[in-house]
Amino acid sequence: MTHWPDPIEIATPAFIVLVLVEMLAIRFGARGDYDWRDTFTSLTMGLGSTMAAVVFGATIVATYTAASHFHLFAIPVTWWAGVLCFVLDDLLYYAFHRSAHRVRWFWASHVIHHSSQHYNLTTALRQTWTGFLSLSFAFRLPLLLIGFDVRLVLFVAAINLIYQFWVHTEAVRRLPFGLEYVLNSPSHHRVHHGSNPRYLDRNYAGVFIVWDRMFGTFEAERDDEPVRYGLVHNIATFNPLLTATHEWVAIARDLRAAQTWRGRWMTIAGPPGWTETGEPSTADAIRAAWEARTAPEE
Amino acid sequence: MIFVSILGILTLVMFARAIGFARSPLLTDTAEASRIAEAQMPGFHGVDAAIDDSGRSALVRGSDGRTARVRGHGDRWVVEVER
Repeated sequence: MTHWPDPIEIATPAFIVLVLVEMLAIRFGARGDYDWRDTFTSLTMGLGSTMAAVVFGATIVATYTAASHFHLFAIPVTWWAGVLCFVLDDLLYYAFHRSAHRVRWFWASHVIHHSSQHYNLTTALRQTWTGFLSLSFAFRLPLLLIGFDVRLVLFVAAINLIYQFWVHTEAVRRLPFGLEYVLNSPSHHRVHHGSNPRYLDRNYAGVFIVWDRMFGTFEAERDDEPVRYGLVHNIATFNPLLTATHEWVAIARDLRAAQTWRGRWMTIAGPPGWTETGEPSTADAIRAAWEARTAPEE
Repeated sequence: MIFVSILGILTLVMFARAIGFARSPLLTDTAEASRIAEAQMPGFHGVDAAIDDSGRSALVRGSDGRTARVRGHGDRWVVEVER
């Protein structure tokens, strides 16, 4: 099997340079902010995520290779196959990302990426260590079953991830030439990182924002409502280990306290914020309460 | 490779600190503590607050009977419901 270059390995020096450029640009007046403790956590989470990929990567590739034996079509590695694979991969990314916000088992891994109250290029690198446990790799299996080459699938997945790096910035306001309508942008992704009721669980796109427009999850950034970055319940730690595991610990605690089998199931498969007793703090409940408070009186 | 990565992380972190991204703001008055609690807890309305001597922590009593604890976290604030 021909060895393909790892796009992420190639892009990493550019990531570092761009972080430095963004820090300096903010110092000289560009929009945005950093905190050295937050930066430490984000970058350490990124390093840990890379190490987790090394540990679990062989298993994921073996699973993909095994799945590819059951392919429906034999799709050659050509430029058009690359484009098609990239677009379909982005659609599957949308499905993964939406699930990661709507199912607590998946959220336990993804929450790490949202655990910063800052929004800068290092936030892009704040990645989970437990994605394997949340089966995030399984969302790409349809590409192998359709018949795309394993190397091509891994390659477009890496390109998708690299694209998402640069949207984690406040320095870029809006994209020109109508690109905001088609592409995920810093503006669209700022909304995604917001804990404002209006912005909760919106804009799941990886590269193409058209999926959100198609499936009803799009929300435009409003200049009159600045994004409040972070979680509904922010965590008070910079410790990478606690950051990586806090939601898993919370799930274990809630499972122990659950009184019914439905409660145990919903603790794992229900939306984040679901509770067996008391007032739920799911995104839907928070948005509904906010809409009720802000609705014009009849 | 891992040592190079760790060195790179420490360099970026120290650089961020050196160029001034190292604030630890203090609460100036009770109104600010209420404002922070209200911003992070939609629907919460602070009616009374007390700031500790360090200026990095406060308790805010809400009109619904809940008490919010505001704590400094780096250059940001974390709000938790006390009861």
